[in-house]
Amino acid sequence: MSRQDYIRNFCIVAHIDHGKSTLADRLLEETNTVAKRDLTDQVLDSMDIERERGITIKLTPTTMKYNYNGEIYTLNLIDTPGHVDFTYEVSRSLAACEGAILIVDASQGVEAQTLSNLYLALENDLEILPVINKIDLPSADIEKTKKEIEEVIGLPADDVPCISAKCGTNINEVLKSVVENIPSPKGDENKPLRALIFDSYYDNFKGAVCLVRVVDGKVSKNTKIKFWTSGHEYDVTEVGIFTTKSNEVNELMAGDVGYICASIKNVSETKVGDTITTANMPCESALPGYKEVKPVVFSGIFCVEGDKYNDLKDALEKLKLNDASLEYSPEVSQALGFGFRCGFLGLLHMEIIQERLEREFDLDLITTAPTVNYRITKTNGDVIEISNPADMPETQSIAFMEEPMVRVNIFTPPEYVGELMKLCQEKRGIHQDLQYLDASRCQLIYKMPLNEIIFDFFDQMKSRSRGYASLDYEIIGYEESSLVKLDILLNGEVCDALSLIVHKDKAYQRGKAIAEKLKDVIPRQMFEVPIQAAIGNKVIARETIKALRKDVLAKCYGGDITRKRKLLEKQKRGKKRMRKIGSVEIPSEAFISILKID
Amino acid sequence: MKKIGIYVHFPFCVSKCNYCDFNSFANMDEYQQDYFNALIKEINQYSNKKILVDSIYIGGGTPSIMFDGAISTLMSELRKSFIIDSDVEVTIECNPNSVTIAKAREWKESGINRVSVGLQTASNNLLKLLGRKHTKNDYINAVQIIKSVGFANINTDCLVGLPRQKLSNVKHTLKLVKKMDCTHISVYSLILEKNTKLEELINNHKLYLPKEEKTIGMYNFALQYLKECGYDRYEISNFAKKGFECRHNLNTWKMGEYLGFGAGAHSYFNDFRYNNLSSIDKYIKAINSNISVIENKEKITNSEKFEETVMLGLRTKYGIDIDEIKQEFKIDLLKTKKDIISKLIANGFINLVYNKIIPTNSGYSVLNKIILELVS
Repeated sequence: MSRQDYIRNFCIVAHIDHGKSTLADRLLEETNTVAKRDLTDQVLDSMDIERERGITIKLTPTTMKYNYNGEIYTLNLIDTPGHVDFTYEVSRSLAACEGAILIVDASQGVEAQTLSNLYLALENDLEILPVINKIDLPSADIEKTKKEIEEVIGLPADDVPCISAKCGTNINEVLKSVVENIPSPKGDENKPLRALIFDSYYDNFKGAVCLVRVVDGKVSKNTKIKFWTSGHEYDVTEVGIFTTKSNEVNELMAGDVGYICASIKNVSETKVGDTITTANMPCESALPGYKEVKPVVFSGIFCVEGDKYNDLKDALEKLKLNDASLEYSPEVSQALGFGFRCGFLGLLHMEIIQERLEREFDLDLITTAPTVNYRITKTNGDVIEISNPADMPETQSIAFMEEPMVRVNIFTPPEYVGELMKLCQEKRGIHQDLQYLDASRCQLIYKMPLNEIIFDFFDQMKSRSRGYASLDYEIIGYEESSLVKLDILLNGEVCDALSLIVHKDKAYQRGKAIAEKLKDVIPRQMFEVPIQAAIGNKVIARETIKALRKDVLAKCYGGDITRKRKLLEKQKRGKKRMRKIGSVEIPSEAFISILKID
Repeated sequence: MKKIGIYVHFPFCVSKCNYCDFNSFANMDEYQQDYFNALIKEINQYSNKKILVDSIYIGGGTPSIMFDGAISTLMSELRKSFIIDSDVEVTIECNPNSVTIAKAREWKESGINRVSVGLQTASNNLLKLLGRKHTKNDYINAVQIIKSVGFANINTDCLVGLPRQKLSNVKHTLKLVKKMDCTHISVYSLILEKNTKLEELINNHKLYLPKEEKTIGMYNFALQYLKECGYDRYEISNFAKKGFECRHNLNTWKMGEYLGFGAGAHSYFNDFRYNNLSSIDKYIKAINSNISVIENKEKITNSEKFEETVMLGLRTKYGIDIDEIKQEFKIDLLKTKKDIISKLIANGFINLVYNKIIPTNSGYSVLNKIILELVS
């Protein structure tokens, strides 16, 4: 047998929370890659946020040695992110493998992302190994899950390993199945180098580190490599593999999974999906499937305290080192001062970035309502794209507008179908399909504007289905739409940070809800403050913040001045966090509060 | 000689009113004697013949339910411990249904010269709703008794913004107080305090507070009516006939010093603000074991003192003196807050008179905001 016959490259795909990371940990344990005591639950998820949410965002490959019938096999596990925002990254990770373990939760069955990840795996011609997990749960129903695998996924389920990753039950069966069923790599070591970048990260000492699957050829220290897309050339400083930490090796060859360092300054050079070859003897063609990832959700990010702008800038630069998909450019808001317009791959990506900025860099942020990229055709024929309501041109100069549409795929128990259809309808969805997969599971397909998905759709879907429904979506193109810019005026002045682009039919309802909310969260001022929601010059909703407060007339008991001063100190602290629009002071919470209204 | 005010607290009540979160307790009367003894002991500990007292305020709780002789003993003990100004103002708080001729005579004879009566409202229905145990007629009787023994300076406390209260009720109440010829009237807005019975009733939708606009309307009526009747708004919630402003309270607003005696009493002395243990039991035990009864003590820094000077001074019609502030705190408000002050004047919230900042009536209604602007 050749060297490559002893290699298996595989990944694990699953719906969020079906136990992917836990299974990965057990595989490391079973192969003695890590000692049990070193496992802090889910070794592969290295970021705190990931661990807290129990989801994997960042991919970390691991090389394991497994003894099968007296022979030592190299198993490369490529972990994949389990969220729709990172579909492209998932597809590149899958492209680096020959097979995939598909986990199905024995108590939940097949979910939206189980299927979407399965389809991705099938597109990449992977051998699929279904595994039924969480058999230890009282609610586990193995027979039903097997039936679902056969009927919904269409794979034979007789010999499917039934495991409990949590308890460590039947883990060896999974490893055996990997060796027996997943094909070995079939690359050519003598051909010019072709390595697929499936992820990269930034290391303070080594620079950008490329995680690669070597398809053909070989690469070692001092090889002069070339990136196919940019054409830039670098000298390799180190190659290695991951056990749980990085281990330098002499050479990576066809079939191997490992890393390449070449003193590369940042990760925007090492684009996921790109091909690395040798500079002297390049390959004939790049590996298929490369595409430039573009952000689809945008939001303004500002600091609560205005003088922290430079800290925010530094923090974004640091995050960008590790996250090529994060985009940002400076933005100036009248209301919020200096900040950045940021582009994200999706809502989760946005949340992760915001949370990391706040947690890792200790910043107190105000973020504006997320928006999507709109396409505007002007009356003079120009076509522009905007992702910031402030950039919307005058109504008269707009011939028509288009917005990105998505195909939404919802999995739900049948009893919530009615409520969820209502929700989709409210969110301007167009019904495409409804399928009863079995007695306990339906698949709903809608076409819907992305704009509606990013505004409170996920929370609504979860609450209307008591948490049972799961969601997946993909962008399918642009469609013409009647969109308007909704402005919020405080004391007659437009507050730019509160402007939104909404569908014409939704403007009144949204404007009214925002005005009501702001009335509650903006404290009394010295004057009566009218809050207006307006489209152009037309006011569509109005509320008033009254000036007077009866609490100034409270009795002050027995000389207790300390209580009064504490109150004043609290107000003073609050004032520091206020933003001024004309003569009106707005607490930073006000900007956040409007992000969560129906 | 240092001039101070003295506050004495009696935390006993016949019953707890629904809205009250102050340091007062019902059904604790068996402690009255022990408490009183401890109180006198505390006063004696502070004995200082270099201190001149020009106001004494006996508050509660309900001091008028103290056992006979308590008030006269208290007064003579205070005289033993401090120098009492010949012109001293001595106030006692009372409930309308606990005033008797004998009590009123005892007060008068022991040197008390001002009586504050807690009426709150002249509607018997609303009084019941608040959990108060007296009626409108009890109030009329009480004031008549107080007057009959020779008191000329009488205050009545009133509340607006009560559940089910209407403007007509406020009119009725203030007219009655005027008819009884009180020299001083306090009008407060009811504030819903945490952990009170009223809060529970309102949270459970058994009662509703009037809308804020309505409460403000009631207050505006009071402002206008009391002005017509010759009562001057000398402090944000207090109104007096000429010469009858409450010296004790003004002392607090002017950053004057005061010593508080009794459970939960607050003091401001030698740049410290502190307060006593509020539990009756703990207070008595601490005094009897010669342990300090002070629960919290805080040194007031210079910047805090500045803030308090502004915060409290602006409550009165005397306002804050820009020159005095400049001298004491080295802060020239006319320079540091120039824009804010001119904006406040332009909008009619304050007047600048002889370098004093004095809020107008519309300024009073947003006083917290004005204070915030001037101190931050």
